Amino acid sequence: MADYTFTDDSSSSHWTPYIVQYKGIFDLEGLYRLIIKWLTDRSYEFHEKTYKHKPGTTGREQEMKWEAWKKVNEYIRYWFDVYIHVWDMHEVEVIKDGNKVKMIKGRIRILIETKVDRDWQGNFKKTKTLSRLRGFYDKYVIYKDFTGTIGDMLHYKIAKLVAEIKEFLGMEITSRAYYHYMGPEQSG
Amino acid sequence: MAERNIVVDHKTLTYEGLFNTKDLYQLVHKWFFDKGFDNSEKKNFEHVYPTGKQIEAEMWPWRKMTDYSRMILKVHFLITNIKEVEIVKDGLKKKLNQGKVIMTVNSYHETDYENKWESKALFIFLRTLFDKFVFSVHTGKYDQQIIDETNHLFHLVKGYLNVNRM
Repeated sequence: MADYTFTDDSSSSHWTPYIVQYKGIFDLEGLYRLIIKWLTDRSYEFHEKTYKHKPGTTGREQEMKWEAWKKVNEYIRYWFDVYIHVWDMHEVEVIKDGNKVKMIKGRIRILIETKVDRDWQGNFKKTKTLSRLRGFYDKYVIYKDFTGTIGDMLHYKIAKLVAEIKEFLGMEITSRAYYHYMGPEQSG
Repeated sequence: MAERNIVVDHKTLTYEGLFNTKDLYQLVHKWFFDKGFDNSEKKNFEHVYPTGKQIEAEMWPWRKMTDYSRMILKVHFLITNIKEVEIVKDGLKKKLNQGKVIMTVNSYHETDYENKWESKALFIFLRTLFDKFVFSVHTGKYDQQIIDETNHLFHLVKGYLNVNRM
């Protein structure tokens, strides 16, 4: 059962975010492409919420906030929030597989979080009776789905994305022990 | 709020020498998987310095014991001055890492993790009574189970590091 926050008053449930931080040389463009492709391949609607680019004395700084969502049914919608912060950025030329490639030397911090929107169309907010009915539905009918099926699936989905990011950055500590935990790639 | 009691407090292992970072990490991850833990990685930092790489990772695996209690481990790795070295073992060249590993484990016993007994004051009172007089026998048993699992993980890592020690 994944670590989650499920509140009655809020319409969304959050799971513990994953944080990856790396300092060294990396392919920033490639990393962006990897994350965007990963989300769009799984039919998520992708939006760039914030993009900041600042020059600095120790190097450039970039900050991005992305969100991706996917409608599961009339009641549930999955969200992926990706926050990328790069600082002390310098462009460097490296030789990779015999070819000169431009890469970035700097620090990067990636935070990935998922949440589930319940009643995203606001159908149960129209009257008090419907609102109470929704409370009952959340608490007794789909509660186990949230804490079990959906929660676990989303948790290990981020774990998969994080494992791919770490492998792309060439980080030492990557593991695929849980990679097939949820079985073959699911459509969720 | 669920109640969290610390069972193993800052059990630390320090090692300096040869090892393989990837293998070490995978070994620990595989152990979580094999033992039925769900894993959450809250920190995963890797910095490249001229003196070598530095890795900091924090994992929070947890496992349900009953519907009321679960065990949580907090496994923290700090690996510093990682350098790549090449050694010859049995006539074969092998790439390994050299550096310093500090592994710290905290283990917790969490009760009422689904906050089922906190909706009413009466429930909280009943829960306290049950914890104190009814479940105390089981609590000791579960605490021992947590200590055993923590020790098992430690022996595993110790064994792995000893194997690679030249």
